[in-house]
Amino acid sequence: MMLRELTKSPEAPTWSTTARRLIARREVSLLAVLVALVVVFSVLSPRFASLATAGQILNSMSIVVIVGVGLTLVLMTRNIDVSVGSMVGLTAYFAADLGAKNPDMPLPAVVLASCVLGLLLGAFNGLIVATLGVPSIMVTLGTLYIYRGIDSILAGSNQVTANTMPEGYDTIASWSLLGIPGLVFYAFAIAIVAHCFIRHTFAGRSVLAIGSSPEAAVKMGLPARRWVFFAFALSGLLCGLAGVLWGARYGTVDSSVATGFEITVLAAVVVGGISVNGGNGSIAGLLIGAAILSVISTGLALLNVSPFWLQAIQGAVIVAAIVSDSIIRTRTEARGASA
Amino acid sequence: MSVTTTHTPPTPVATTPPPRARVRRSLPSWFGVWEISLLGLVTAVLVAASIASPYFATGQNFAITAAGAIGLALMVVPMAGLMIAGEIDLSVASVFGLAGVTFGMMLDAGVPLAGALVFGLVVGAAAGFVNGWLTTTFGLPSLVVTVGTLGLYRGIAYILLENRSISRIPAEWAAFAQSNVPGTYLPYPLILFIVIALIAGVILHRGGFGRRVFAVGSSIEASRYSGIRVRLVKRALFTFSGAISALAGMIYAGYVASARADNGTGLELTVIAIVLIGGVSMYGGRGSLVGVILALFLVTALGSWMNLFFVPTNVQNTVIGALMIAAVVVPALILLVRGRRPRLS
Repeated sequence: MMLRELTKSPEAPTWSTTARRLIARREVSLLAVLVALVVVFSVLSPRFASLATAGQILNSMSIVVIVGVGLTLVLMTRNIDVSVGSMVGLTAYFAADLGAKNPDMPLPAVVLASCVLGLLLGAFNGLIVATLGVPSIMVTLGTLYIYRGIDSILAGSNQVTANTMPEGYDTIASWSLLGIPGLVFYAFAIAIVAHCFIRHTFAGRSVLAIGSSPEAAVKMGLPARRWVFFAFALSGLLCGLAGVLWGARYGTVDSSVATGFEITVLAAVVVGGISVNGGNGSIAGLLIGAAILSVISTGLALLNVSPFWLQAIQGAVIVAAIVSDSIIRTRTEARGASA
Repeated sequence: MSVTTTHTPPTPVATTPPPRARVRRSLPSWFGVWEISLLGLVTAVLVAASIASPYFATGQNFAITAAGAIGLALMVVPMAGLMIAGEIDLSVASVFGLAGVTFGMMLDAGVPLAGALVFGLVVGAAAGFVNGWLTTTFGLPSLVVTVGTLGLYRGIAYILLENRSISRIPAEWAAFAQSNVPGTYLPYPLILFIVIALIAGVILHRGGFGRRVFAVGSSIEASRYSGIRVRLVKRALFTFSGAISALAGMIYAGYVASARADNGTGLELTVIAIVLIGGVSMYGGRGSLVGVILALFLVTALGSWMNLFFVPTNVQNTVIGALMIAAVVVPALILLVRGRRPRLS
């Protein structure tokens, strides 16, 4: 990633080399897959190519994108956070319960409280990983259980429903502007900020450098621990926000909210070409990855395909995405076009 | 995981004081400080639980706990081998479910028990082989591959059986999964587990194949240069993992006398947790089956204790989570106290 910007191409880029480079870019091939899927579904189902469906697709990928941004940053530092599902679940109940018990509390305060709780949960992950240098999958697998356990101690068999939620809680997610759902605005705002952070700030480049080679980054004098901690804390913060949005969107919150959600988010991130070996990937990839999965689930639902097929198809898509990525990468490397 | 390529295992000899080093050297590789600590913990839990509840230290409770934990126990064995070789298989619980479903469907179609069992094992081995093939042929991280096949295999189970369940399990198979050896409190599947674990343990710690597994986990480069067929070793381990997960799934289907697509959902995380608590390094190359079996004891004993006090499952999982974090934090803290800077992995 960094090399591309440091080394100048010796000859002036002709149309064909530019085109080849563009095709070799992961995001472009993913975009082609996305377009192909949209075309196929549009042909198969006349109801697919409509604004309503587009809104539905964007709406259902929004929470995945919000949590995915945090996970992307964590993966870029060559770590992993599998506790995101539990963090979303815990903050979703915490926020909904807080709002239900304190109807006078202003809604922004509830959102803020949820974000702070998420931040603390993420910071706990980050603290252990960054200070002790222990494998993040162990730490976050541990906190996946712990946070879910706290959630079920807190919630018991209790359920916060739309009736008990404070006035206007659902509008946090359900507002829309020009027919575009509010959730989509949150997701895109966060994605744009994250994109600019990664592409255009020194801190963002540091995060990628740490993931490319932790040892080299430390030798260059980058505060690797600090950025690892930061990535985990941010992942928690975004889960806190996603928790509120989850409750606002679905209207019912119990202790099982977002169970297994880490797999969904990981799938979107991986399909989006963000490497689990760190130092690679982009927010654009994440958006396309989430869109591909959302198009598939929405499209299959419109085609009246039994929901029992959904999981298998998603699994097959993940496998196909990573295998095709690997094949494309070896081909381009063999050609010497190190794009 | 391919993190291994850049991670060099820490060398403990350099900074540890000589007397301690001598003690450590006299311990066999499969029974070191970690295993001794785990043994201490298991003993402490057994004693504490026996004091806390009169029902804990009974043969009846042992038999119930063992029969219930057999699926988990079986899957832990191949996972230990895989993780020592530096790979991971997140799809084990999905293979568990899928094999149970195909087993049930075969029985439902009138196939005799032995045929259905073989078919289930073949399905599991094939699923495991696909994981290994994808990982080794395309050089992909197994974590990502098996996240995909986790969805794929579970999804196929759902396609096959939707939300139905098959309860036409032959009486002899249900009896095998549910009952004890006459006159004892040893469930039949426990005997099977002991046999499999013993064979796997001997191969892993005394056999040539086991040596290659450790070598592959320590350094793929070095293994390749010394003529080890890395891909073959990994594929064999994945295939073994699939076959054993399938066996576990079919025994479980007999135990609950029903085959369902959602059997064992989420079990993969518990399996991995146990292997990690057992002292297997996430980066491969280190660990022992003895440690993993002790961790299995620890987790099931704690689970049984909490079951006797009606602690809900999610809270029980919290304890497993805390154990996992302790399993990584405590050794890291010891290193920190001894003045070694931890590595940023």
